Amino acid sequence: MSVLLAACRLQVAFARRVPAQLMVLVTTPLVASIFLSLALHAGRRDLVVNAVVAPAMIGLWFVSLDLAGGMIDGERWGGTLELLVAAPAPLALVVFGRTLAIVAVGTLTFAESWLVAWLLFGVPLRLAHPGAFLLAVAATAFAMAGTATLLSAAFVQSRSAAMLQNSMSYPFYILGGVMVPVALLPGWLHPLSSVVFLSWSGELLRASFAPAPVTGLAGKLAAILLLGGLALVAGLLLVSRVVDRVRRQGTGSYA
Amino acid sequence: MSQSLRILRHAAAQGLAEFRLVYTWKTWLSGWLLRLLTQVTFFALIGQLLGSQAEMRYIVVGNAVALITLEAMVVIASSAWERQQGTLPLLVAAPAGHVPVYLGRGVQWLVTGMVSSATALALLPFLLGVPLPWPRALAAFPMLALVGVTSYCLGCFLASLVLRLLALQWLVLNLGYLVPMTIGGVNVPVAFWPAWVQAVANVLPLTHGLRAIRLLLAGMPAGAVWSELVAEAAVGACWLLLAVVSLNRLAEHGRRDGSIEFAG
Repeated sequence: MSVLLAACRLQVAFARRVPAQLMVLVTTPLVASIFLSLALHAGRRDLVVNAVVAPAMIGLWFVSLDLAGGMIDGERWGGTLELLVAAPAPLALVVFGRTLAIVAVGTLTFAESWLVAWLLFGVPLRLAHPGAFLLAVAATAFAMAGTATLLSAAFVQSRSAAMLQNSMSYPFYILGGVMVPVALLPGWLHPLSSVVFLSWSGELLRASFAPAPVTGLAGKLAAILLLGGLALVAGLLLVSRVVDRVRRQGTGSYA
Repeated sequence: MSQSLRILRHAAAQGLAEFRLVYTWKTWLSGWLLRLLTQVTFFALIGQLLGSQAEMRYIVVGNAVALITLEAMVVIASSAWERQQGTLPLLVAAPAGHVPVYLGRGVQWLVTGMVSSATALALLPFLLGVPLPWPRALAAFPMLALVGVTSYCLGCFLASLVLRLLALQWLVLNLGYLVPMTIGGVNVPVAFWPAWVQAVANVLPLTHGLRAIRLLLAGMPAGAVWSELVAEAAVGACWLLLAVVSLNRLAEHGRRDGSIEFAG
């Protein structure tokens, strides 16, 4: 636990030093404006919820992917990977703690999106089930951090990390039903969507704004946590393999 | 003039070499191009959700054209990389100066942007069931190139600002395409926005060029199309002028306060 907290503190210090890491807090209001303008121009007030939830989920995914893409290589370039590998604290936990911190800050995008709808478009949204919403956000943040841990290890093994990172955005926004519900996608995509945790998160987050009771809350939360947990376990194992390889081959630094 | 063109050509060749370092044809097609096509598809699906074919076609065309603006903005990152290489003092001291080099530093993204945008415009409306009126739509492709050039001019101006504050390169790059994409008539008509937002949209690249393409596809008279194209070209020329002035000021200030360091 102390390693996780230290990693979180480290990431917050990084973000304060390099505010560009939190760029998503600047871009989310614009993305929210795009979705809200689409819904309101078409006279579809029923889609305002989608237009508020989608930019926040996109923001979270973006910030996780952005961090995951360069974290281990960043340590290598900075000359600190050797020290991290030699330290008693497992690198995998440091990676998870850092992503958890940035994802936690990234959840502010939900508030931003909601404020854009209210202040710029004059459509305040009432959160009908705050408890379900908070649980969904917490589970989503955990799954994001788990997925980012897996990706950070996968990216560092790839020769085209930046390309992979770039190509993992919109296909996942479609499969995850972040704006357009999965039910409207072609049937052959449904099985794929069900293993993308975003699809369960999106459904739950949107349902928490509707006056009707949230159905299947426990099952959907379990699905998000299970998928995030599996990604985290795979990520921890993969990061350990990266550490082993760095130790064996002496590739901890570029110097 | 011929010297500037020669430098621009060399800067472009350097850019193409840089492109080959980042991508192979295979990774570009299966990674980047596919990502851009899914981006347009994502917005098209929103059009489908909104429930009208006309809405969907409007969104597909707008987002396909906007891809070239997105890629043109990568000149901001390329210029920042050039600055980080520490070449600015050498370029400023050279007889031709640094301006042509920086203006040519990202033309490779203009070329790839043209290919991405044209591919999206040619393929996606057909695949998504909202076909374009061929052969009239063929005239949209040269217009795409104009939108690319005007977007590139704005990108060069933004790059000239980023050269003073390199840490902001990715933020400015993202804002550089997200703002035109939000208010420039890509997803909803410019008239949807308040008057002051419309005024901003009208001095940004993409807005008039995209409107010209929409008028062409709707079979409107050539005069209306041409007046939008002229407006788009004028917007681009203004941003180019501002980029040149700003790049020159960067060197002047640097000479005065010693901020043109050898390293980035």
